[in-house]
Amino acid sequence: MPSVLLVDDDQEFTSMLSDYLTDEGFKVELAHDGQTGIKKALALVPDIVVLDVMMPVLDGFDTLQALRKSSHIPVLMLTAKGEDIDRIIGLEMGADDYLAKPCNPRELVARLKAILRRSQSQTNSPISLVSGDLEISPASRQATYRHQPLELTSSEYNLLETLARHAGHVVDKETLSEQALGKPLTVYDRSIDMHMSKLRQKLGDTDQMLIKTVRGVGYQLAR
Amino acid sequence: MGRLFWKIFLSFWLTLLLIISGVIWGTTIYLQNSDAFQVNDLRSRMMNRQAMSLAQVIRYAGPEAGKAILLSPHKHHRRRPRFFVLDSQGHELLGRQIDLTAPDIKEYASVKAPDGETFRLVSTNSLRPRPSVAALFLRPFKRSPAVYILWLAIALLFSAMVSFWLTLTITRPIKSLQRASKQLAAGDLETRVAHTMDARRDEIADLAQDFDRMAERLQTLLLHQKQLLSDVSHELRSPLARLKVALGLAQKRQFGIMPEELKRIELESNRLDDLIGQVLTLSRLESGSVYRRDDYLDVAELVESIVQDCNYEINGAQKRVLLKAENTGIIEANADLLRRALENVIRNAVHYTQADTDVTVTLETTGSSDKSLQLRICDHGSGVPDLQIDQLFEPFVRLSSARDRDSGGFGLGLAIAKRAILFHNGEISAWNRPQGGLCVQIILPVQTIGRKS
Repeated sequence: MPSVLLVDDDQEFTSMLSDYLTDEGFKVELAHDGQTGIKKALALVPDIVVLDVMMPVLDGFDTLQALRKSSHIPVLMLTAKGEDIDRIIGLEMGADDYLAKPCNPRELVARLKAILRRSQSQTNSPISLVSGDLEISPASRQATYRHQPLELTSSEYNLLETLARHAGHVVDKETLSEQALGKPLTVYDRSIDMHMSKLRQKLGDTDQMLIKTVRGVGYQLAR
Repeated sequence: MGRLFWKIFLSFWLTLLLIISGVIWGTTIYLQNSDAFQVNDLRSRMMNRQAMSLAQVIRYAGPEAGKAILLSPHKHHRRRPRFFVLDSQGHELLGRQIDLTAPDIKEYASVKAPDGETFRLVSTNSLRPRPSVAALFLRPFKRSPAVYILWLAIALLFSAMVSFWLTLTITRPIKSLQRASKQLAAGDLETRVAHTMDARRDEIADLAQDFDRMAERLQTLLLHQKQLLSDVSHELRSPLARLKVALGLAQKRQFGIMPEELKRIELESNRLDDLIGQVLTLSRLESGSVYRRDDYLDVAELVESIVQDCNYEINGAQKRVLLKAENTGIIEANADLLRRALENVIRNAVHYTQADTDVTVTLETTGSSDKSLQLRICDHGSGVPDLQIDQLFEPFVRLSSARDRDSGGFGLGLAIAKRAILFHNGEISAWNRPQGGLCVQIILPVQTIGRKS
């Protein structure tokens, strides 16, 4: 039975959500502020943490930052609706997913299960990903190429990491968009191509030897 | 230069011209009269007196004494009247020539000398007055018509300059007040005007102060209103989150089979969620935004995908969306905001166009140096009343019962669209077509993006 820790200052909300999740087969623990949340997360080591951004004293971001210093427990953030920037900050600080609150509990369950599936398949997540002269350390979100550190934007780093995780295989654009940019791919969105072109510039990969374009499908990082 | 300017300027000028010409005319007449009279009078008395004394000398001392007087140097030599003394044969005493038929010849006296000879005292310049002050004053005008016109022009110019300056001191502050009012009405609540009045201390400066106070009050009130709306929406999210979980629980207890009432509650709670989301998006866009702008969009493809969706959804409703799109290239934008803005405008057009009509969507690139995209969406609906067309993009504005009641929207879609376009440094405008229907035009600047892969 997967265990989940709910961290939210709205007690009525957490108690109802706890009932719902228990029904769905989760073992639920509750915390009503950031401090308690961190303590319980470290003590009980749940499979996943649901963290509300809007909390008094220690808000969701601070809690996440404190938690990430000593733990890699998957975290799903409940962000304010439409707060685009919350989502970006959350993902950059190491949240695994986000959901706008008020949310549909059915969707929350679906997301939780997806994260759990992903984290189980990557249980022994490597300390660093090495592919040729490229070295990536997901914990610090740093990448070096030929021992030179790369100055990457968040999107560029995410793309590179996703490619490195599947080095030698073609990663299609749908997957890249979902996993690296956190949004579904649309026909009119050229963000992946643009970020990839900038990434190639920073890698000095003008002849596309390192990152190959597979026309109509996606990209491939040379192993 | 407004009408007020010309009104004040012309009346100032006219008044000034009237006063100037009146004063000149009056003084001229006065000077001519008094001057001419006084000077001539003085002069003729002096002439008479001198003639009398000369006559006395000739009468009692004989013509030789008179000759001596005529020859004697005089300290006011130049001013001394030139008398001619003629004997009965018409010979002048000193032998000077004189033309007795000249028009200004005047005989002053006739006198009998002790030897019985009769002498006449005549002067030639008795009638010629010295140029009077008025004559001196008017001399420049008397030369020729050209000089007269020149002087007239100088007078006109001078009075025009004075009137211009006077008028400006009145109309300039009024103009800046007007400009400020317009800015304020256009929504720029930061507008203040008193600082443009410099050191003025008068009624207009007071008016400017009052204007600033009004603007400040307005700004505070509107800020409070927006803040309140945003705060209330924020606060509503907590109960709504609970409501959604409670609904999920209720649904579970029914083993997945939802009664109609619960479905209705879910629908309404989703609508409420949507409304709150829109209010928050709007207030975030208005408060200088926290939106990122790092998506790269192919606008032509974006518009095409929206048009395809619309055509798919209205399938069978006898409406069509026709797209004429140029390949416009890629812009850097916030994909979500831009898509929502364009989708909202296009869906609106589809909603309001009449059955069996088309909505036309055209996308083209305009401008050569600073390129921009121009997207025009025109429907064949009933349009918007002309008076309300400016309010089309204001939040919560319901234009008419005919246009908005059945739309199911909150009157926020176009308001968000406008602010989303502004966020992308674009412009949005709307107008009624003469043949009926509404056109909305969106202009987006294109930043040239280095490479296209």
